[in-house]
Amino acid sequence: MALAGAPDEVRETVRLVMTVPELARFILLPQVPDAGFGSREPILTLFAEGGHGPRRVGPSSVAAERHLSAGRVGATRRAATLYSRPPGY
Amino acid sequence: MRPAPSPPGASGSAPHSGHVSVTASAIASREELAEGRAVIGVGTGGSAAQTMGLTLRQTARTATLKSMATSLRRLLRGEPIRFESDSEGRLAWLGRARRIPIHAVGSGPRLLAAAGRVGDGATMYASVDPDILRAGVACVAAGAGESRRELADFDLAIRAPASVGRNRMVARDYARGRVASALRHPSPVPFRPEDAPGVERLRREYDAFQHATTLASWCSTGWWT
Repeated sequence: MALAGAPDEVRETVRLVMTVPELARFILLPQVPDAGFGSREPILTLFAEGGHGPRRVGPSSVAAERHLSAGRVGATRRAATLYSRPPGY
Repeated sequence: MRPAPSPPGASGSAPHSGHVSVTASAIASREELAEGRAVIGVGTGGSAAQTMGLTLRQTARTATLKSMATSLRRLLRGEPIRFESDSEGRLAWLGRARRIPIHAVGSGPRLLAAAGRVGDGATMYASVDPDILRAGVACVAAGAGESRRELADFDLAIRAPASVGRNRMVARDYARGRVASALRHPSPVPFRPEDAPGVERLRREYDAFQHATTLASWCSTGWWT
């Protein structure tokens, strides 16, 4: 039901979703805890770097990992981000 | 391999939480800021409607989706619609007609077919499982066919909770609440027999006032992620 897990896991899920050729977009609902915990940015950064775009480990993904690891489960917020199908899928 | 710019818009506005004229005005404003790029998602509503005392069965009506799409198109063309009060109204400030694609959102077979009938695009809020997605695509295609259109004319999207982290379990924990909320809606295919009792229980116990939170009691088992 979700694009959730480690980057490799999510990348594999994305790959499987993209085997459905009619689909042109993902609308992501990044799930983050409330104030004081994580933010949406790390999820989107890791998704772009590890799950959807070319694999690259840089400062942003390290920060993202730290952000997520420091968090604990809390209430979620709602947000939508649209991504187009990248070339090559 | 960078994603294309995100179209500005709402992924799923519903009539219960915002009047269609307000939604039309808001998206027309966004289109004014980003001409030619705005899209508007329309759905039948879920948790917001439930907190207003409505059930999903009451809200998930194909007529609602059709009415939303029709009213939005008319308002965005600068035409009047008839309100519940029986008076007519239009977007007086609009100036000129706006061509803003309408994405209809659905989960189950009926609403996905309706999305194919009434939308310029369709958004499936169903799963990330390719087999289930293919079943959903078939529903949209059937609806599109009823309105003499091809699926190739559609901008077809999936809507999915997303949580990515190096700590797999934390990332999955973050998504449980949203997945639970998605499971309240019908699926394009029947749930597996071993999952059905859990889904039924979830639907009985889901509290819309704790919408999509991972602290809610029904998240404690978390078998669905």
